Amino acid sequence: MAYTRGHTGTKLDENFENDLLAIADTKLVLGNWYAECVMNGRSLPDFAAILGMCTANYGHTRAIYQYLAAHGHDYAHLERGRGPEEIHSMNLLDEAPAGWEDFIVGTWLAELSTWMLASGFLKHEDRAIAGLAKKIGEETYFHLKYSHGWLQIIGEGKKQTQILEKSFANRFPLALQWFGPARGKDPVHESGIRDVPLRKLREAFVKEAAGAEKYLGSKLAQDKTAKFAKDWRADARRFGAMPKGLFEVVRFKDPELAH
Amino acid sequence: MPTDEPAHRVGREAGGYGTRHRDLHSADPDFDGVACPHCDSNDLEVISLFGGAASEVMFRCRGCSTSFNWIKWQGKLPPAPSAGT
Repeated sequence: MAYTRGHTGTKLDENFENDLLAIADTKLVLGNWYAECVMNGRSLPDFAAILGMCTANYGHTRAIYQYLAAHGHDYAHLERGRGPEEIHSMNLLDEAPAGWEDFIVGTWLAELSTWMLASGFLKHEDRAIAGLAKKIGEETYFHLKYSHGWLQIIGEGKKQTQILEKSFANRFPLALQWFGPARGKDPVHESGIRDVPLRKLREAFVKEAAGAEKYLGSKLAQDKTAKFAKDWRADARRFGAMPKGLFEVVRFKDPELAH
Repeated sequence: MPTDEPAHRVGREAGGYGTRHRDLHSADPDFDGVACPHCDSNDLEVISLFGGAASEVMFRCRGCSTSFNWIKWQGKLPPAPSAGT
């Protein structure tokens, strides 16, 4: 059945579904980053914040899976039935953080980029998805505020700042890549599902990432030349399949126990 | 180690972001209008951006030392082309 506003059970546009999965799956991995790294926090408030951000991201993932399930997908398959090649998470989060500064950079860029893509649905005709985009934004607002605080503290140490700058130089192109080629196709916008072209979201992401320099107190080198080879998967917004090691971390371990 | 610090100050100078909240966020304009539920003072410090629940910010009143949680969000969104911010 073709998609009809507010009618569950109707099929969504395939490209729209892919964008939702890219957000949800990236947030699944991001939630795992937080869960795995919580004990590396520098204080009890850090622990509380990391766990709070962890549960929020898992919540966003779950809400999007439920939305997709309401439109013809099998929820169990989405949550625990997919292989590493079917999970649409961002390449940015494939490599585990190499240290505290790298963790801050990875989580900050993932929070910012997933928000940018989700923000394109704030005016979606279906209130369910528009409301979900708004909720993601409200929660991400405070996640980013905490990230900015971390950047500010790191910026007080010369060595820490240098490590962070290096990490940013490595990870920023991967975050940028997630938005696709600068002149690539944009079917979700062209069909009117997203009111903002991907190009504008990409530009806004770059601008916001650069804006964090004021917290760090240092210049961040932005390599804006994300490379796209033939194996770029536009549907999954990534190259290749999720690495096996990461899949072992995020996959649902005992499907028979699920309910 | 025994200390002459008042009890509510102990452990507050350990370093790191968590212990710096009050410096970094106590004058945050996002929290303008937040008032102590006990004495109504606006002279507050942020104890934790993620309080008793992820949806709460924990404050302490500098006037009467009351600690309280405040529900965050208030509709604010990070900058984005569609967000009007």
